[in-house]
Amino acid sequence: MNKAYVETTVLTNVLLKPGSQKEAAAKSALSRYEETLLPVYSIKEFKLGPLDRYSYFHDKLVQTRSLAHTFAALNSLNPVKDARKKSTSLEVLEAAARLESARPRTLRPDSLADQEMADRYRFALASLIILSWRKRRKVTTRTIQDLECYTEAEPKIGKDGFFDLTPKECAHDRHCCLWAEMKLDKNKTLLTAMRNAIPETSQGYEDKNRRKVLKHLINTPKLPLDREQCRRLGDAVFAFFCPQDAVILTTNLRDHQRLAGAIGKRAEKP
Amino acid sequence: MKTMPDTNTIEFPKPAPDLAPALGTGGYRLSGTQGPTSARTARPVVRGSTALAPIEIDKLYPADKGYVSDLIAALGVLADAISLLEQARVAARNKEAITADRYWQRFQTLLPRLFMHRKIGDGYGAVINALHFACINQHGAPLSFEQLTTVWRVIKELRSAPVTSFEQALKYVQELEDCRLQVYPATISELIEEQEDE
Repeated sequence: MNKAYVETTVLTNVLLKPGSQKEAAAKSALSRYEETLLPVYSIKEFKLGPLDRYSYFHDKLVQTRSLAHTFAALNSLNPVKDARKKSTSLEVLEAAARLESARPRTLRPDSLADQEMADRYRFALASLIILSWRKRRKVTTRTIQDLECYTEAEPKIGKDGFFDLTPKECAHDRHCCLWAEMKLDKNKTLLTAMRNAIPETSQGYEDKNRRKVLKHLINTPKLPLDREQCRRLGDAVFAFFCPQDAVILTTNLRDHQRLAGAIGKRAEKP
Repeated sequence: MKTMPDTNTIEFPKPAPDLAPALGTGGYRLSGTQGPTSARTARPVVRGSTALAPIEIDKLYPADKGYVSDLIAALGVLADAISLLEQARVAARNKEAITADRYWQRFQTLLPRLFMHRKIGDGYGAVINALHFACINQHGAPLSFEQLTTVWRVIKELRSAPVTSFEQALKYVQELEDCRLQVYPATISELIEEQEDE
């Protein structure tokens, strides 16, 4: 039986990119496997990353009641990003939301049209965030590897109109539940192989942190992992916990293939 | 023993039945988009010593009275929408695909007007908005009988309770999705694409 172990990027494409080619590709890929497995770690990463960004966008719309101001605010968080691309995406969003619009035009901040667009995206995002969360365990044939230290709580909208996604991370008053398995002596060679697969010279923030946590597990296995270290392990968790007879299904093939390959497992792109 | 009428009881006018549908929990509203709940008269009955308790001014004189005219206007447009969808269904059932699609097209032209009345509440706004994007994403393709029936039923239910909760609105949105209508802007993933690039 062929099995897929579904990583966060594929879960995100299915749940948060409705109508896109990425959604279609992810769904098509899932249908190729007889059994698809979703680890709860994917759900945790999904909420902490993509869902959190969507809710931030939603909340900014609530705050500004303007699509133009929301984009300006988001752009200001990353001013080095290509301004032209951001402006284009604003036009695309506006054009897509208008029945009568034949071609994109610039939204005048605080105009009625701007407020209308803000409300349109606010409603759409609010529905998408909550409904995508409710569908998370229906994406695959099975959801596996529950995390004892993590609570899957549905996103809520407070009276102020803002989203509340807590808890986004594991409980801080207990050890990481994955640590118990990873620290075992028999797994030391796997951890070492994964650490060696990450280039020592890599300047990537994630690579450096992942190497550091793997080193911690290899050298001081009796010291429990905290939730921050568990989060930093990221891709290594998928490689480690993917069943031997399954393949990791991910859009981030480069990072996953490197780690999975080091311990005799495989990663595939949808 | 017959009890004496309570002379300290003040009966406030009760809201008209069609203006007071159940307002569920789980909804949210921005300022300026309040539903009628905030505008209803304060407490329906004030007894005894509480009769002297002050009534909050915002309950007597709600800040936003616009919802009533929005509600009345929306009810009229929703009635037109139901009529068009009924005719579309009849035509679709009789295999008159072009006629059915003509009624559906006319229904679509009502959606911008319906969205203008979103002050009624965010539940109402979310349903109308989902239908708006469903229309866009059809790219002119006609709806099946099943899809027309789902939209017709949702609009009928919305008219019977326009001040619907956001939770109820999510159920309608899910029903529209379940009949293969694409209710979100296709470009919504643009929001996250840029994040992935960074």
